[in-house]
Amino acid sequence: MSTQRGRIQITGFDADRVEQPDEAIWGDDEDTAVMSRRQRIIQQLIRDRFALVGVFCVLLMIGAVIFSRPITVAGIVVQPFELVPYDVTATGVGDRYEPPSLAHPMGTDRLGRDMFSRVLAGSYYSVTIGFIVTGIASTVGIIFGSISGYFGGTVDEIMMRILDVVFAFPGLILALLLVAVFGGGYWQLVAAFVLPGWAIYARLIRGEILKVKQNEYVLAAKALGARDRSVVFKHIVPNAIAPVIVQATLSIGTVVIGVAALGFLGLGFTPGTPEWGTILDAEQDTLMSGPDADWNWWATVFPGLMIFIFVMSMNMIGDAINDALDAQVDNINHGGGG
Amino acid sequence: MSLRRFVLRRLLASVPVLFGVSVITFGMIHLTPADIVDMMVANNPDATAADAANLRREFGLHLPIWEQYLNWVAGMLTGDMGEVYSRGPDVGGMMIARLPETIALGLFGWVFAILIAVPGGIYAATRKDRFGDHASRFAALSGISIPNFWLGLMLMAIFAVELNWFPVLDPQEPLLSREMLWWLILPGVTIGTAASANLMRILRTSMAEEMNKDYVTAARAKGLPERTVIIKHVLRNSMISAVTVAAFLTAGIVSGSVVVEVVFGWPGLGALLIEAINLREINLIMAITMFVGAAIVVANLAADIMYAVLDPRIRDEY
Amino acid sequence: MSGNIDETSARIDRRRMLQGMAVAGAATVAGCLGGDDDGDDTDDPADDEDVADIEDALERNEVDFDEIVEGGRLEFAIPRDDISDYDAAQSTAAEDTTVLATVYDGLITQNTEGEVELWMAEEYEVDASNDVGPEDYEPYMEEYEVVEVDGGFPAYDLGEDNLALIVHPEDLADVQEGDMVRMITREEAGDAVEGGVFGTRVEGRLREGIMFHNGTELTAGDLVGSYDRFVGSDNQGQVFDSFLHATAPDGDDGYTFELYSQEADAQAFLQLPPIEIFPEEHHDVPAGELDPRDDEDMIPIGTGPYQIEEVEEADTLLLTKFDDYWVEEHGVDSLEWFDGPESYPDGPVIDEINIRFVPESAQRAAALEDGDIDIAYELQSDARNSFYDSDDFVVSGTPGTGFKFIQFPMMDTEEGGAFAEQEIRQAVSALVPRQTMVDIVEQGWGDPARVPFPLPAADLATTGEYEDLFDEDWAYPAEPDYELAEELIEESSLEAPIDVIIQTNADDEERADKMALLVDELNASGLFEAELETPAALGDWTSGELYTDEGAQNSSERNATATIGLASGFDPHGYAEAIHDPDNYNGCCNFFFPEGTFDDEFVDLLRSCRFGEDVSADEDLRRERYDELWPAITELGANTIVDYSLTTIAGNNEVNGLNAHPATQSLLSYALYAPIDEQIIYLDRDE
Repeated sequence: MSTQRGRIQITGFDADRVEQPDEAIWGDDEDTAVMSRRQRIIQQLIRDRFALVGVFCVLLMIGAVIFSRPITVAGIVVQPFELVPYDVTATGVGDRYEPPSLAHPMGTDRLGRDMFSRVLAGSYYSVTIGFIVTGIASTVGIIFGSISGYFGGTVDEIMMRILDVVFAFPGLILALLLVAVFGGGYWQLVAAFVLPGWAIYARLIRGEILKVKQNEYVLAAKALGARDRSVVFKHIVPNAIAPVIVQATLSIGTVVIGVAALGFLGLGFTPGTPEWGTILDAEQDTLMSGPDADWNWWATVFPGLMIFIFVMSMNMIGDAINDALDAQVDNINHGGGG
Repeated sequence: MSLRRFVLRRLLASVPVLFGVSVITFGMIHLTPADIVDMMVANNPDATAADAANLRREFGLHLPIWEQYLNWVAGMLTGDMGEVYSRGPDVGGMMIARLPETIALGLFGWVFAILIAVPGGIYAATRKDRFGDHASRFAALSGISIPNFWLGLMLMAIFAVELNWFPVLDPQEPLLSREMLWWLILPGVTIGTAASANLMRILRTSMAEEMNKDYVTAARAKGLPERTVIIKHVLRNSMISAVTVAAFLTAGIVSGSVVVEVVFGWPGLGALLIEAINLREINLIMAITMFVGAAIVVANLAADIMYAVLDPRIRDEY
Repeated sequence: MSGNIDETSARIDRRRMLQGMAVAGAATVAGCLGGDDDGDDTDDPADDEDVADIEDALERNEVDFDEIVEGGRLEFAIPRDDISDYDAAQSTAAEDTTVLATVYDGLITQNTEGEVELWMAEEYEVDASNDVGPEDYEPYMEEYEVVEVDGGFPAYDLGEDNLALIVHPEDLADVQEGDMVRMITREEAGDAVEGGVFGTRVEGRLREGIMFHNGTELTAGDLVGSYDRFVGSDNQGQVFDSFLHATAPDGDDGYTFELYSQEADAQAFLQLPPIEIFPEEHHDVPAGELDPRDDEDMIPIGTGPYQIEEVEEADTLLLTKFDDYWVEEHGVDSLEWFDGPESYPDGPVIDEINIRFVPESAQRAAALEDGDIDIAYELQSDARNSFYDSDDFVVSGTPGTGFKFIQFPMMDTEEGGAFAEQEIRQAVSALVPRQTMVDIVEQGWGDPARVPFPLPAADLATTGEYEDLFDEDWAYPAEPDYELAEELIEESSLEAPIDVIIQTNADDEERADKMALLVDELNASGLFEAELETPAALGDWTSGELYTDEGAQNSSERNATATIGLASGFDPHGYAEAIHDPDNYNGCCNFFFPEGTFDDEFVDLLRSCRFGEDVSADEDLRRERYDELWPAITELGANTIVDYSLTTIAGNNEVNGLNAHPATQSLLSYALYAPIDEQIIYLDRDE
């Protein structure tokens, strides 16, 4: 193996650049940066009609998360609105398996509960877990990857082996084991997806850092005696973050499908929970209800569709951001559940 | 560094990885609130606490965890994967019986993925930024976004139950018989959809890039037919980048097999794993996790080797 | 997963399905189940056409014996992904028994109403009973050394095929490693029996000329030796909790046998025989090793009508008809009690049975509809309804032996402790919407509990008629009785609304759905503020939380009830004992009642219904005791029963004569051939 690895060689020096590193610069292409990253993303999102629809859908669902049911924090109502027409757990608000109607836009389920209310409230689980998992996982991954990539040497070697171990578990299998240990439930699922999820960010940022840290201004900052921590987080990470942003957007969808898959396997939430995968698990029998039976399609189509729309929207947004940042992240989605 | 040394080095590096996987899995199983004996006696009105204690001693579950782990490692090194407690006999036989099923399903998923992705990728790349490109992008994104358990249920409801094109249950014929291959189409499609969509996107991107290169322009200038240019030059060069992500896609297929096997009632390792976790069958969980871990390590290794062959600079990275 | 079978039923005591002995005509079936159109004017969502009128399913499907078509291959689906254990001595899964019941025949046979007739036994009767206790065995006890104490339980080194049967109660207090303990093991049991110390003796004689699949003849030695296989097996507890000793008076090659129980036991008749009778070549095979998946020579061999032909892990299990089946050889007329027509066949007529492993209920429904399988059971209620409504399929049902119950933690704790008060327990029980639960969740395919035992157990459980008991003032109301509940709360020391938690296991959707309905009802009454909690999968929950020393305390503090399901049998005792007897505390299925929770009078009454020389000898006395017990149980209100199952089986119209048996373990073997009900199925394929 190379002895060059992780060692920093000073090849050039430009004090002016070091003092004012251009935030808009990343990669090697120093001169083309004109627009800020944020502007590029916004412009791309507007130009890409798919992505625009995606943004619209995601905003709608976030709206549903916030306003579907009142939110209380430590006993204080911080959000008093309640959009759901019926209590999501109330049984018998309609007949058993009532088809969609004005009173019940998505019909009712096997206990006569209002599907619209349940599906709307269900966005809370999938959407928030998706964002929280991605937030935590990317933060942990960035810190881990940055340390590993910046210091190199033995530290890097050990940290990369740890990463290899995490990668050797397919996401869903590790999540299954974690659910067996901690049981189902909201925060248990967050943990079950963060633990395998952070590794991809760590690997991405490490790779970028290996590229970026050869840049002149980084070397200069180091030569000027800047502390490691400030070099990493002030200079290196901001310039290496583009692929991480893209990956994060794309993996929200992966997490949401994973949560739903666990719900479907009956391992995510307790049976009555209005989480999309859990609803699908409980209602999957309606898909095969015997000869000449009416197909109570609304019980499975709506929750499934919601998963699909949300994940699709996030992927279209991620795609657009990918284009905007030209980060060229290959979204290796592990398929429903990975 | 020679290629051989590189491969050897990577092989050695995978030993601690698998060790880590085994320690983590073993530890986690022991953290679960109940063990196999609890599961066995919990709902048997006649089992007493004394019976439970006896069973634990019989299985060696009364030993300290590190001792249990060492016993397990010692067994593994001698090719003994331990017994399936709730049934008695050894894990190895069970793995061997279930393995061909999972492999067949995975391969079928792959075949489907390639059959769709290659033409799809070519189509999209040759129509870059035109309607066909957008349509295929939409299709690929849909393939990635559709939950596979949902897709499987829908395919079964429509094609097996309603239209009756496929039997619901597997036909109990040998794996490579015509009946069996026919039956495997639905699960194969379900498991291969995500991989196919991913592969298609990767192919499109790399082909589009490739097509801007000078040699393509040169080939076209020479008057070679577009078809030859695309297939002989562009596709071949783009396949390399696609092949190198195969490891990731394989991991995706392995993950997906858990859900797909449950949906289609296919007796493979994924379905077995869920059962094993439910029953806390330590040895079985360990064996499956280790097998899957090893498969992924090998797939990654293959990808690395491929990279290394294509781009010798990579070897220095490791 | 939703398709998974009820985990509890899967692990129930297999012997319990045989624990019923009904001699006189059993209670009538019709009328009390579902389809009860009149007087049911609740406003629940299931009130309309959704609820199936299941009367037809309860009617027997008759066949014309002259039209029977012989041969064919039956595709039969079981709700599991594989046989859990082919070794019957080791297996505890109900589905294994469903299949293996076609391979092993029993000494007696039972019809759907629990009536018993002789089967492989030519003679079989209770001969003598003595009132004996552990102390009476003292003269025959030997001293054994405690080699280890694990979790307070002593272990001994007794050698192969031996185990402690009765331990001197004085020696068990604070037992330490190295102590000597007096006990009866299987070695001393014979001496005790010879000395005349035993509970109940059952004498019997096997029919001659019954052949095992391996060509050897069934003799008394096979029966006596079969007990060895259960030592150290997962079924050890079931076999040896009452069994003391077995002998073959005419030698191992003879046909007579004598079985002895440890104490006078009204269930000895059904409780004492080994669960399966193995041929001599298997007697030394350790429990769990009789499994062809691991050793292809280890094929289960019985005397039953089918033998195992082909086995492949999680994929194939093919049974073929046994050529020398004893009933066929002897002729069904040789059964002294058989009075059916001459055209009734001498054995099952289907040649092959292909068992399909289909764990998901949706898949079973799809495969049945698609024609991949001929017979399935444990279908989801909507699917069952559409098969029932279709002319191309037949659904048969019969009152089953499964039950769901709510258990109340009765500790009087500082915090919580509401259920220490009888009135509070009774108030919850009064508010359980039993009929609505069955109507909505089971779509009518069940039976709301009105008394603490189900119809199949009725014969031995009461001197009266089952349905007459519904009018007793101690019976459970079918629909919530708000007035009664309100009165009860007023009588109590607490004020409404009372916070309660209704808990059930997370892995059973139907059960969770029923409890969701209860929670709604409790809240609607204004008397309670209830919440539904589904802590974990059944195994985790029971062993992790309920069967712990703190379980009763914690649950009492939180006012948290526990609901699970169980299956028992034709014998009424299981319905009372499993969920009340303090001996079962922290074992299945007494979570909350350690010794001292109930007064002695209640516990004595409970035990006196089964144990004792008097009830062993006198069935009517037993019935009278139970007539006292049931009101005491509902009055006490420690548990309240929610509903009883209806066992159903569904087949396509190529299967003729399909009828269900109350115990799922007997569904297949009963359907194939049961002279006691003149039951037989045959296949009439179109092609």
